Amino acid sequence: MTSKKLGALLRSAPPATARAEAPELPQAVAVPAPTSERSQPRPAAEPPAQEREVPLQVLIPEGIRRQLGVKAAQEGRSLRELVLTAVRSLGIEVTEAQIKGKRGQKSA
Amino acid sequence: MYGVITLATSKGGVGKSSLGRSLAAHWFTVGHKAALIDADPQRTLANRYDPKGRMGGVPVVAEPEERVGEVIEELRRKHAPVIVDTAGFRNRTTIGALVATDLAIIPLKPAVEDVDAAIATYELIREINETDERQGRAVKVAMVLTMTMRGTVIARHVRDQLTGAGYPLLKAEMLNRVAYPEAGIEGLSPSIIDPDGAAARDIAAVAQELMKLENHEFMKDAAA
Repeated sequence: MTSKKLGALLRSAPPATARAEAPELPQAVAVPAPTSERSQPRPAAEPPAQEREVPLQVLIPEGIRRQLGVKAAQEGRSLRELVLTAVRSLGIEVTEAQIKGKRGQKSA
Repeated sequence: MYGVITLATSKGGVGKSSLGRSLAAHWFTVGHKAALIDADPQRTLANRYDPKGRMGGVPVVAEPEERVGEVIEELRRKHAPVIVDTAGFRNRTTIGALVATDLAIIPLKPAVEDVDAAIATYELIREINETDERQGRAVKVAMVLTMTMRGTVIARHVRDQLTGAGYPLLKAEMLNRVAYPEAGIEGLSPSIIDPDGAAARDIAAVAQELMKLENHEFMKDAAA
């Protein structure tokens, strides 16, 4: 029999695993506000819709990779989406369609 | 020897799994029947576990989910210590493990986000100690600095701030050494691969200090 206090603590926390309750794909992707004028993405024309995609492979610290995986699971987003969102916050032009990629097109 | 040790903090990437496996390896090499529970959905420990390997004698039970309390009770009949690695975020499994634990270890890197998460976890344990389930037998708690660079200002600053505020930070640290990821490739730890090396000595120092905590009581207010 669980005490009231412990019951309240347990109810305040999500279930055991992030995978168990991975949320649906969000409708919009939150983008951090640009910190300077230099980092503002320019309102340029949309890039070609069917631009070829190429692989990007980088070595990063294991701990950061693990945090990325957890964040992706918690937010129900792919690693690719997280990386492209971060790239856009650097001021590089990345559209919503590019962030969502083929997965977004299929679910739309 | 502690019956159950849980590594917990609400932030990922602080070295919980490495420290958990390293402590299990250390105690295994000195003759204790350690066991690991991998309660982290990342399955860092379970994915590299080789039952026929050099750490095969330290069983790893993966993904106990919300049955973690039962799994701990089952394992502790034959093993001590049972070391539980938890997820890098607050969830019911972590709370369940902490309710059943004798000692909670809160690892943190010398960074402000890690300090915040460590303090939040400390407060969670304080709340757990106030539940009927823990009345009269408070969970002991120790913070451990991980991935530190010797002699850096930030590590010294974090240590001064935490100890100055009365938090139970171990003197021993888990320094940033390549021995951990190198050994981790095969699911092993420095105490197995290079028992005389610097990383194995760091872990031995952490283990030794943890053993001295047995008669200490950090949560006096909560346990009263």
